[in-house]
Amino acid sequence: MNLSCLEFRQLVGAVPDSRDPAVLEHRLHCRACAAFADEQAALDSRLEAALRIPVPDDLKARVIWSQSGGRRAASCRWAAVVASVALVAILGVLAGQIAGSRSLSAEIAEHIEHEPARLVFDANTRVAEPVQVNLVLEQGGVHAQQPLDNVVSAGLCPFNGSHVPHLVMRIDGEPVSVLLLADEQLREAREIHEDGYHGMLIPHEDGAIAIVAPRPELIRPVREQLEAAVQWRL
Amino acid sequence: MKLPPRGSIDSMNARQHRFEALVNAFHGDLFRYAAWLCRDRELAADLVQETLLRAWKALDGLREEAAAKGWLITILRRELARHYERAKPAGIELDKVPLADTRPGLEDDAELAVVRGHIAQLDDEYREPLVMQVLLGFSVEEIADVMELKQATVLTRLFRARKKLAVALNSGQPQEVTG
Repeated sequence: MNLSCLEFRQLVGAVPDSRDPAVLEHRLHCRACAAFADEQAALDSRLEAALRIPVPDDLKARVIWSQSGGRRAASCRWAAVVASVALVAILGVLAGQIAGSRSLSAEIAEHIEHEPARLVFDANTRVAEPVQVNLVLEQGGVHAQQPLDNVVSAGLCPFNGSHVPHLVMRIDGEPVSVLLLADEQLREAREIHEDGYHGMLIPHEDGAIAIVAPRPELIRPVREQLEAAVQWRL
Repeated sequence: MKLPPRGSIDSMNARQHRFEALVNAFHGDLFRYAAWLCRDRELAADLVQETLLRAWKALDGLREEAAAKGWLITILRRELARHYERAKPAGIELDKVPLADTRPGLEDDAELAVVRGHIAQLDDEYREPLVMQVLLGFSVEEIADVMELKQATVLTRLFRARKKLAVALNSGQPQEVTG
């Protein structure tokens, strides 16, 4: 089919990279239309660059974690998580306002107590992929020098004015909670005994690691693993 | 290839990997497409999250990976329609739409800002097929399918969108999108 110049420009104006034989044929024989096609191609390059707006860095991690949380928990349980996260956010703000008047141990116990859904899992709950865990860690300013084992839940939680990685690990079938606190400095390790929780608050480089478990003997293997792996990012 | 039995650990792992591959491949395009439709980065991120969660639930219905992009775009359009049913969009000041990432160090150059401003000024009916074609690489047939339009209508809209942009860009009147 032979195209007129008008037909050519209507087609190329709509589909600049058209490989239609009639378009290619016309372009070969009409210099003015070939120039028009070049202009359209140049315009499209500008448009494509402009359309490629930056994508939020955390979008992928946000999607994968919302999906993995939803899969593990029943809908009512998920609602509880959402509610508890909101509550924790409010508590975080309040905690920030009265900073210094309460112990770090109490805040950690309170945080874990308000996210009970994280501690619910069974033998079928899948251990998170290291890549997923690393996404959360990186978002929380932590680099893992080696993969963390037995993590069944990970997320960023508001805590004392920043967002910190909160992991739950399955040790001997029981939940051990971990908060990685890059902004908390400690002189020495402390035990946590709050509201029936047993734990350790351990200084690590320029930050601190909080480990809380239902039984004291579950803490040591987690501590060894974290001390070998966790590195704060600048 | 024999698929693992439904409900088995292997089956769940395969499903998870398939989903993560979709997220990796398409979250960026979905975000950009959503942002150009609603002209709101925060809302676009929420829409992408909702879209991919719905995709996760319906993943077994996706037979061919080649159809994934169109499938996801269709879900996202429905999500946006649902959002607008719940909350009618307020009058948006187009010259103040923060489409670009405005954090320090991520500023775009002036040329991009001007082109973005003109694209944002296009009517939805012109902007959407243009974004599908230029950004997502959709053919006219695919755009017509997703938008439920005749191919001739899509061709007309694409032609007019480019013509309006060419005129605007050559008029020397910048419509910069600011944060």
